[in-house]
Amino acid sequence: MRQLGHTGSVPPGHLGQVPGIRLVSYDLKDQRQVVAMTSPAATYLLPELSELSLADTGTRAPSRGEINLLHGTVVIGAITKDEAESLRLHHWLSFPSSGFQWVPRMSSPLSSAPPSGEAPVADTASAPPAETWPPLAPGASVVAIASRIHGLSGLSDEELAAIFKVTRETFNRWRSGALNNPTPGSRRRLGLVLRVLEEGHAHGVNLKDWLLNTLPSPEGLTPYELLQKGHIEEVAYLAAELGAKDLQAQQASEEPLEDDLIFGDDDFWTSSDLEGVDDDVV
Amino acid sequence: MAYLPDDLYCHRLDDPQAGPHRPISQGDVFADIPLTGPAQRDAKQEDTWRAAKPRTGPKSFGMIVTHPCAGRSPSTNRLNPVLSVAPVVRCPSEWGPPWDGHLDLFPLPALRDASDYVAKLNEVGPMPSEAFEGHRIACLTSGGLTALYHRLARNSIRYPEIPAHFGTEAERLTNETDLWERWTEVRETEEGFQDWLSGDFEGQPEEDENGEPVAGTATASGQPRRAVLVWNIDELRRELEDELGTSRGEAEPPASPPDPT
Repeated sequence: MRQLGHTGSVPPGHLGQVPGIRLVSYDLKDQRQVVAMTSPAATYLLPELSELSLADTGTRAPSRGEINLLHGTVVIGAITKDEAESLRLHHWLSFPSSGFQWVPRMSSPLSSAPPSGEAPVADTASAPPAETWPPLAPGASVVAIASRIHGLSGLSDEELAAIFKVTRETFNRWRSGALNNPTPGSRRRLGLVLRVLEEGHAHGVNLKDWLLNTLPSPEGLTPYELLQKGHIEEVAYLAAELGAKDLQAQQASEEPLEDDLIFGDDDFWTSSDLEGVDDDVV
Repeated sequence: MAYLPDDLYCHRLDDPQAGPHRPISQGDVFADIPLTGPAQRDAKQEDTWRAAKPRTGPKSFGMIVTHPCAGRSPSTNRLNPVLSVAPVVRCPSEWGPPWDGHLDLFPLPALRDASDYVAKLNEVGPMPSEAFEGHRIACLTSGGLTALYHRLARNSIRYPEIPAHFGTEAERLTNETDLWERWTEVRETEEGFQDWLSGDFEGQPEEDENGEPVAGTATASGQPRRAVLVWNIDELRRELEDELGTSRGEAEPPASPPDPT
C-alpha cells in the first residue's frame, strides 16, 4: 500500500484520522455506488494509485503525492483497476479534519472529468446526499452488515459500540473485517439494527438526526437511547411511522380484479333451529 | 406482493397435539374444534335469521388470530374464555404459490396430509378456548407470524409493507412462547413463568476488543426480562436454564424442629 503526499503523518497503508469521508466508486457506466461511509476518528485504508491508467476513459489518474483532501472539497482518485473495461474511480468527499490536508486533483465524476488543476467542487458537508443503499441480502457478512449500519446511521464507531455493548475497537474491527466472528447475540443484534435502519433509509429519513435528536417515545428517550437500552421493538415501531406518507400513495393504487375462488365441501354453514334475538344476550 | 417464509411452522403434526408443552398462542391451528359461522336466513320465513350450526368434527379446523395480550387475562395469564378464530379450509385448487391476491386468505401450505389449507380472515368468529386443549395441529414460526401480521394488515387496511415492526413483534412473541414452552416442559405447569419474565434482567455482559464476553460485566439495569425479549434472548435463555436448573429436582429442606422454648 503506497503512501501519498500529505501534510500530516499517515501510517503506511492507512488514510489516517480523516473524518467524514465518503468513498464512492464509479464504474465505466458512471454508476455511482457508495462503498463505505466514514465517521470521525476512523481509519481507512488508502487504495493503490500508481499503476492505474485512466487513458481509456479520458480522465487522468492522480499521481503519487498529489492527492489531498480539504474540507468541503471533492477528490477523484483511481483506486483499483480490475481490467481495462472495469476501471473504478473512488470519489472522496472531505469534511473538517485535523492533522491532515488533502487537496483534490480532479473535481468531477468519471464521465465529465475537468482538466487537471481545476478547482474542486465543494460538497455540502452539512447533510449527507441521498444515496441508494439497497437492502443487504440474507446471510451478508459481518463486514457488510457493520459497514452498512455505520453508513446508514451516520454514527461513530464509539456511538455504535455503545448500542451493542462492545468496545469501539470491536465495532471498528467488525467493519474492517479484522474481526468476523461476533457472538451469536451480537450477530443477531446487528441484524436487528440493520433491518430497522434499512426501513428508515428507504423512507428517505436523515437517520442520524432521527436517532439522536427526536423524542418520539413516551419515556422521552431518543431512538438511540432506546437502542442503548435494548428496546429494539420500540425503535422498530417508531421506524414504521416514518413511512406513513409513502404508504398513503401506495395504498391509492388500484388492485387487480380477481376471480372468485371455489372452495371445497368443508367450507359450509347450515342453519340451526335457534332464532336470532334482538338484545345482546349470549 | 405476498410474503410467506419457507419455514412457516415450528410444530406441525398430522395428529394432535403439536408442541404439547407450548402455550396456546396467536397463529396456532387446531383440528376438531367447534367453529361458529354467519347467521342463516330461514328458508320459510324471509325475515327470520337463525344461528348457524357450529361446524364440528375432525375436519373442522381453525386458527387463532387474537394477539396474546388480548387473549389472556392480565392477572392470571390464563386464556380468556373466548378467542377469535378464523376458519381453516382446504385451499381452492386454482390458488397457490406465490400466493398473490386474495388478501382475505392466509395460506397454510402442507398443513395436513400434505394438503394446502387457508385461513379465512373475513370469517373470524368467537370460539370457546376450553375447546383448544389437546387439539392443536400446528404452530407458526416467527417468520410465519410476521406473514400473518402482514396478511391481517393487508386484508383489513391494505397496509402494503412489511415493516420491521411486524418482524420484531413476531420475534418478541415467539421468543416469549419459546421460553414459556421450556418452562412448562421442565416445571410441567405454565404457572410462574410470567412472574419470572417480569423479574429483573441480570444484564448483558460487555465484550472485549476481540468480541469475547467479559465475565462479571453484566449489570442489571432495572429492566424486566420481558422488556428485552428480542434484544437479549440469548442471555434470557441462559437465565431461564439457570432458574430451572436451581429449582428442578431439589428436595425441600427439612422443616426446622419446633423451638423448645
